[in-house]
Amino acid sequence: MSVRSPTAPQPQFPSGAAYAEALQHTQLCFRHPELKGARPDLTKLGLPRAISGAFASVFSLTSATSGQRYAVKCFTRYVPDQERRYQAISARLARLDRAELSQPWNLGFEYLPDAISVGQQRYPVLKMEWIEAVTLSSWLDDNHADRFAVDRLADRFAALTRDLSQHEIAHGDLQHGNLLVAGDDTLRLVDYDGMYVPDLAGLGGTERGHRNYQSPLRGNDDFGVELDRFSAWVIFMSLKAIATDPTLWNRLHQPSGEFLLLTEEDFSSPGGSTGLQTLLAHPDQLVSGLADRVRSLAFQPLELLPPLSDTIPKQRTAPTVTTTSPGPAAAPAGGAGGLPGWMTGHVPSPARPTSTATVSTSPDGFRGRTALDVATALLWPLLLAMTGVLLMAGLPMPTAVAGAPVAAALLLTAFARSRRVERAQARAALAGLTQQLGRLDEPVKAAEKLRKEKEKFEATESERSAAHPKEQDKLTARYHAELKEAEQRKVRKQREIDKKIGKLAEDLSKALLKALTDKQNAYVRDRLGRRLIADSPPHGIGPTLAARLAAVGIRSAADFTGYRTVQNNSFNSTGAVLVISNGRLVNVTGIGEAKAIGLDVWRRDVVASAVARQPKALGTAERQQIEQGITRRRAQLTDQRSALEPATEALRVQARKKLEDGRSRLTQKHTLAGQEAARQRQEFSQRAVTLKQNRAIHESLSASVEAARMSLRRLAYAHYVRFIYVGR
Amino acid sequence: MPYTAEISRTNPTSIIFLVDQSTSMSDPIGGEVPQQKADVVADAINRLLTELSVKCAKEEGVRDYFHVAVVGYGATVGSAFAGSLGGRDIVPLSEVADNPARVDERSKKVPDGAGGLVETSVSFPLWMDPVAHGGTPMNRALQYAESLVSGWTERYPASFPPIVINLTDGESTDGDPTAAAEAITSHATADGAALLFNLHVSAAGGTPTAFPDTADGLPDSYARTLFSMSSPLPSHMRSYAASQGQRVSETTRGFVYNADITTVVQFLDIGTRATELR
Ligand SMILES: Nc1ncnc2c1ncn2[C@@H]1O[C@H](COP(=O)(O)OP(=O)(O)OP(=O)(O)O)[C@@H](O)[C@H]1O
Ligand SMILES: [Mg+2]
Repeated sequence: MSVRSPTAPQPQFPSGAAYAEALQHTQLCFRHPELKGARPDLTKLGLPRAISGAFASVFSLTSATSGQRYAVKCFTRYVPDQERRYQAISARLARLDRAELSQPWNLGFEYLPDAISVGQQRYPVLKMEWIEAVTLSSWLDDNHADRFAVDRLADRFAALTRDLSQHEIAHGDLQHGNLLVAGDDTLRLVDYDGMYVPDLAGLGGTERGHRNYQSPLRGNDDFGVELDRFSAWVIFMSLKAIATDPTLWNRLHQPSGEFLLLTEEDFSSPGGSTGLQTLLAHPDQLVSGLADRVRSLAFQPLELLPPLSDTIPKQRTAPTVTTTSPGPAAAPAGGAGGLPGWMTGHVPSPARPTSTATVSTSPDGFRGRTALDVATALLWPLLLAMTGVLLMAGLPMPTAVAGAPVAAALLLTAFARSRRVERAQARAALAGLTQQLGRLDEPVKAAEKLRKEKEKFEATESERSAAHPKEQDKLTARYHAELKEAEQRKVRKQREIDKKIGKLAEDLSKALLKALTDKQNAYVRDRLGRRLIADSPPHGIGPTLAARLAAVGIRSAADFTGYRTVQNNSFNSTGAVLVISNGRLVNVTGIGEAKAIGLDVWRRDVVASAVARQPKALGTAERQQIEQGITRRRAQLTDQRSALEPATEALRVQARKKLEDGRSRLTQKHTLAGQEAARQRQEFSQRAVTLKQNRAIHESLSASVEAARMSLRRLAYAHYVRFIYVGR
Repeated sequence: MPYTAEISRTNPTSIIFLVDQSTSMSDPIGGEVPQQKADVVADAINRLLTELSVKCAKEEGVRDYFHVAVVGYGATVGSAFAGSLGGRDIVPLSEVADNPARVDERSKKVPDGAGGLVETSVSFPLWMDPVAHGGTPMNRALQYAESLVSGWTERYPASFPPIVINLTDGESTDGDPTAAAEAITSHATADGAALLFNLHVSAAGGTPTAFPDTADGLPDSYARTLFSMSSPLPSHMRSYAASQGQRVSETTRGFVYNADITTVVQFLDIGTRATELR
């Protein structure tokens, strides 16, 4: 990743595919005489074949004019000050004396600005000599079993780093893709994009290097001579480890993995890493010592790291030939903490963090006889001879006595063996490993547990996702029900109003009829009121009777409505009472049945003549007033009817809103549940990954336990007896 | 930190393209030379597969950093690969690289080096053909992708999570796609939840918008729905987009509306440039 200001957009570069397309016509895209018309290597599809990295695509081009083959690097990302960098690097490398270098690792190149035309623009390329070599990783795929060759390559690598640091150069991205191995097994270094040379001091780095080769403490801005120190240790350690134990390549390097033996995680969290644990627990102290070294370097700032080259003697190290190295001569005197001999004194012994696995290595059989061992060895023949002498002398004696020297020899041997440290060491190693193994979950059980939990989770999760559409359907159903209800209500009201409107014609005729009747009744009542008894008395009613009638309130025809016959019990005769307008009965002295009949006939005549003259129809004004009343009523009803639709619409809107609110609540709930599920699944994945690592650690620990058992067996009594004579 | 897993052959990532192949994709879309939407989208995907192949090419050949599916949805839902990969779902990139349906010759104007332009023909590998027929069963397509995603996360729990890229012109004809979209992003590897990006190619007009951080200003409800379905851009993609001159913020989503062809490729490119390839 390159350093850049976060605000200004960087100049854009073509993609790898855009370069490949342009290179279909090298006659057109290049101006440089050697590149113009050059023939690119092609893919199966007949298109220019790229070798791509993170920052560029490299193409192999064979010049049409010179026949020379070149590697042309086309940049896919902006690198600040690129031209200046390449000029400075080129100048610095030109000053190297090839004869002084450990091997011809440096590469001839030429930075050509504006060399290639892609689309409407021109871009720079780096024209390099083509190197016939394979990447370090593919070389190891083919050669890891050749311990001699790997060990020699490790030393050549160390020598290369010495060349670099002697000239204050740092490559910046040492890794398996940038270290190529030529046919004669010497190294070539490619990809100088991130190279540091003193002239570039202060410029800042352009990249952070391959993640599986970097110190966790390497920062974006680190740029100086110490850039390569950590990766150099990682590569050197890996090569030495493979040279010592070639099986490590197949055990720790995943086929096609983008690393050698260790990855990013091994450096950042060594406690949980398979690779580093395996190397730390390795029976060979060269391997475990170097691994421990890398582990401790991962926590130191780059500038404090010791350069690899300072700690290795310049002369070529002899390849280690057996897995049981180092031999007795190279065995650490004790203070070096398991460092290989050549490191002792150069390197402060790193303290091992107690949290991570510390495995005391099992001794590989007995080593170095002590005085006691020698004495035991000498005593055996002596005591045996003594027994022989005793037996041959033919002296009669109990077998117990005869066996005494042998028994003594046996006992002494047992004692001497028990004084050997190797047995304690081996037991401690075995105990340590067994304990570590015990701390790990049993991988098969843990996997089964994870599987079950996952299964359960997936079941509830699929229930949840199945429930979601159902809940949505429920919301929709409620919405539809509400719409339906609103509609029904509207229709019902409409019908009621329509009925009322339909009845208006009938209402009108009724009202007109009633008004006419009222008018006629009023007329008749008026006429009756005007006909006074005193003015035109009916037959047989004189002034006295009229006065008496007036006294009870009967003055006009309107003041009474009829009469009733009554039985006068006392005289056994019939009399009469008059019915007055309010329905009460009055008795008027002098008004008997006959007079009452006369009064009633008089009143009826008055009624009949009034009815005969009553009005026969309503006046226009009266009629219009009634008609207007009905019209108003019609208008009211029509208004009510038309208000129904907007009211229903409001209900619909309300229901819609309720639906939408419900939906968004549901969506939100679902989103949260989805996020929660993602979190849960992420955790499961993490556990699956850990499990896989644990399985590997478990396997390698189990193997170590087995090895420790073997070595304990090599310390058996019989082995000891052999040791005191043979020394091994 | 999520979305930082190394993409490697041991921890590969899958990229699942969903391609709208409904009838409406035969409509033309703007630019000086109008093109059918289906052509635009097919070109983008073919270009991208070439791009991925080149990006993952090493000395010994194309490496399987990615495994790729191209799923079409229209009259049916299923693999949109043509030729020998026809009918396949997730295919390792090396196999994709070697097996296009055919290699077309296309004419192209390039600078002649003397200030003018000259017409040449360039080889253009094709893996899928433009199709525009049928409805837009986006839900079914997303569900199809979900099953692929779920299988992938099970197989590669440590990988950078799968990336689903949906290219469509809008309206789903089999219901609201939101829930199906969320089902995809509810799957996760140890490195984070699966990513869903949407590319909306619409003839409705409006301002082309790339990686917006709000739905305000999007022209229609389809665009807004697609926006809300899209995953927020992981931080390294955000900074990559920013270095390309895009204006981005914390809430920027993997959504492009009515982008022209270059933005389309750029969008897909960012989507796949998940992290440093190593
Ligand atoms: N001069 C050369 N001769 C032969 N092969 C080369 C040469 N230079 C580069 N290569 C090949 O091309 C690959 C990529 O080149 P290079 O490392 O320069 O690109 P990059 O983009 O900087 O890569 P990265 O930064 O990922 O290492 C190398 O790993 C190597 O296999
Ligand atoms: Mg490189």
